[in-house]
Amino acid sequence: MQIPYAVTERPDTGLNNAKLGIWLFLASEVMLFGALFSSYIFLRVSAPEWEMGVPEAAQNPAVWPLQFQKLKVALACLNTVFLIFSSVTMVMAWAELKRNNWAKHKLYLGLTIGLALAFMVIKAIEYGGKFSHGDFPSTSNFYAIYYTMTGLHGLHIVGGVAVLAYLFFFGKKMWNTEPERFAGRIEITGLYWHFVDLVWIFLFPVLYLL
Amino acid sequence: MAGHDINKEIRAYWLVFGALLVFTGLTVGVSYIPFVISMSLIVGLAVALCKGTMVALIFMHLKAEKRLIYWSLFFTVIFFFACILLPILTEMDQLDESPNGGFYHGTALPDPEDRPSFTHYTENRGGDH
Repeated sequence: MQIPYAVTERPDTGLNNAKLGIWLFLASEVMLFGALFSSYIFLRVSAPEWEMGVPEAAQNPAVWPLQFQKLKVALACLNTVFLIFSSVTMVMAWAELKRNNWAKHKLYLGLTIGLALAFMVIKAIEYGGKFSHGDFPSTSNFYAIYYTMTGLHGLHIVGGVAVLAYLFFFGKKMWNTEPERFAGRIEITGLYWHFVDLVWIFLFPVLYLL
Repeated sequence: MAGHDINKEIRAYWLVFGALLVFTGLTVGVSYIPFVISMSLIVGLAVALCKGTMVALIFMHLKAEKRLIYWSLFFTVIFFFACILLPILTEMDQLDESPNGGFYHGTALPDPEDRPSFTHYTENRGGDH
């Protein structure tokens, strides 16, 4: 059975269903992360130290720490570069399909997967360092929101890698039979991937620098 | 897409990549300047916003998208900012020192002397270790 409007545009929306679907999904994702950013703001602006400046407040788990003393900026910076680079390789994987160059498409898609895995390795090193110092989500409000936000973002990376790996290993068949549909799949996956990059662009300064 | 167009797009992708790297360096650099905290927040988030806009417009092709996508994102942005502003407005209301300030005009706030102190927070932590 042929799925309607998987490639062609619907006359009423002017979009194919896949593209409209991914944008609506991304809109829901904006609200998901929006709720977490909102929680972050709530915890941070109501942290006791900010209002009172009492030195003993450092022992209070509600008090906000000085992030640059708590988190490794260099590792996060490296991860930012990995994700930005993976975004450009992702869009290049799509562009190479438009140029009918399968070999380069595979190269860029493989690079995207590699960079995503490198991001997760750095994240694992970072988490391992925190755990070894006894900094768990239950340690303080800051660590609770830090692990929740970066953990959820990490899960999005894992989900993205699963889809990218599927397209990398099993995409050739569809490319041979339905090239337009396959290019559409890469574009849709790319939109998701850029969104994951976009979330990190805000997570990085908010959690590590400010 | 014609070959010429896609080549132009590819040039734009690499230019944006370079710009994103520069902006990342800028974000890190600016964070070491001893601004007051509100200024650091404004500068840091403004740079992040520039980076995010570039990703959305160029990588996600939002610069040439259909009207339906723009409309769905327009409403998403409104709800997103409502979600973000809610805790800020709540906090502003609680911190307002003026006798008749905040959202509840006419409702007198407690005297600053009677407001919760640090001991209030530590004594009310319940089962925390």
